[in-house]
Amino acid sequence: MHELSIISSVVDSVIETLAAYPGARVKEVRLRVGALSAVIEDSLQFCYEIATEDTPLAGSKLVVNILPVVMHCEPCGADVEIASLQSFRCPRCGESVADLKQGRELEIDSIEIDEVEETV
Amino acid sequence: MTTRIVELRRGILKKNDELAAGLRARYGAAGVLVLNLVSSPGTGKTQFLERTLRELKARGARVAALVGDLETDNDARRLAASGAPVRQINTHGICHLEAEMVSKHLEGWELGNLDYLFIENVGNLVCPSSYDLGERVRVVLLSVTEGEDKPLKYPTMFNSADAAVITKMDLAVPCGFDRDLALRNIQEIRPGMRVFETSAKTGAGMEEWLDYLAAQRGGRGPTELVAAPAQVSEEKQNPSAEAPNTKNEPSFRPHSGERVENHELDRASAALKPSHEQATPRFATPREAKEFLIEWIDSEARRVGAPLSEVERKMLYSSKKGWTLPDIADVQDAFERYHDPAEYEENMGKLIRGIRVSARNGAKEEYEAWTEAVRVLSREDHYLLELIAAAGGVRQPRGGRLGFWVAAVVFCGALVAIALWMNR
Repeated sequence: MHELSIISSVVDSVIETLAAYPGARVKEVRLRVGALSAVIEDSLQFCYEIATEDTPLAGSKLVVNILPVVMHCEPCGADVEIASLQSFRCPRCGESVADLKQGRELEIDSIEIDEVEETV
Repeated sequence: MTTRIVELRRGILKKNDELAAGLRARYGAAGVLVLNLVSSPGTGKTQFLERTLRELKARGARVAALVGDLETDNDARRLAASGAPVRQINTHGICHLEAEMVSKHLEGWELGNLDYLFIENVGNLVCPSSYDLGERVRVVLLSVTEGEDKPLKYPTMFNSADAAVITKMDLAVPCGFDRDLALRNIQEIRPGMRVFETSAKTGAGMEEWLDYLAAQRGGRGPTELVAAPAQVSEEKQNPSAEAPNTKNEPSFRPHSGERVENHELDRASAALKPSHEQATPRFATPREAKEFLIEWIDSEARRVGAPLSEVERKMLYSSKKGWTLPDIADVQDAFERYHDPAEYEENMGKLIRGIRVSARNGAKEEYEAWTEAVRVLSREDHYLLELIAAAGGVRQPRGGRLGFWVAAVVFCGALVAIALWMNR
């Protein structure tokens, strides 16, 4: 439900960044989204189309890189990937894990732009 | 036309996160415990909070609440019946509270006059999980009428919470509520989370919940809070009332080193008028102290017209052993690529010196807040301490640069002396 406000923040950030690259056209916007961040990729894609209309981002592609949940398992002494959000247990030893290392990210990773050559 | 990839590595909700960090620093400095209450609509957050406010007040605590809803101020009016200061936040369609809304609605409230501030979020188990409000404790509520599998259906929210409250326990039997299954499901999603089984109607489980709040607030036991007598505030309102038994005071005075409870302030004040008698702030953990210091450095940078970039700001969190950001490795990576460490450290030194000068010349408590935060942070190893030590002034006890050089000079001197002595 809040994907539209999240995407609007993304669009604002990208437009802000574009100020340093006058005339540039955005080809791709890449996000890093943790599996525990409570956003749905389909919903992000849907909102992206609406939110980029009539902006320099119109027609660009949104790439959402979903990061798996990683927890630290004390008994194993290792960071382990949690495959399912239904059970926060170490896949190696079965112990409960609560020390989150990755999974709540909500970041703009990078943007790909076509820059206008500068004439010196 | 050339194609270029511009790395941003920026939090999408950066603005909210920064505001929340600022709020957290403010709460920490004021010594108020802030809780964010989240649940689905109809769980009974308001009734539960109503009872909590009433009982905390009866224990002599100073409480206030912010309550979020799409429309109406019905909840605020219900909560205000407890006698606590309450403000309604209407989001007008937005499905969650944001740090900015909270910050705006705190205007005019003196947080130093509060022990507890409750933020009742919009009824929604999805969206509020992404928005930090600067709270120290996130409480997720579920009622016995909602089904035992609620935690499995909303893992993102349950996993982000610090404590869970099961409400309407008085209806558990008629609803055929499977308590063991519900508890198991909560632990499956958030292992080790404290769970309180309560009924705002009968009062069941409230005692344990209130004790938990007291413990979260500052490690003080419930008896000490109970000892804060309501008569103190009555005495304030009505000077002719019987004087409070001052002999009892030491029993609810915080341990040494903690700020003195300003129980002499007017607790019944509905408006929480700002007071300039802010006591020495407390930082329960090095993390709180660290966030407070970084927020200050960040705002100083904005003040001098050279705001920190995200990487510059996040670098301040670096620590080998102490608490730091989850993505600190990425930050340090980016820092190494794009920044000159010497220039960065010089810049930070300038900002820290600027803060120290203005804090010294400003209010006494501002300067105390800074030194207190540095002292608390010194319990652990943090890069920030090196920067502060390098800027001169408050010295850190270990790992400080100055200390290192003094030790090195003494050591070399000793070697030379030994060599000379052996040659004789």
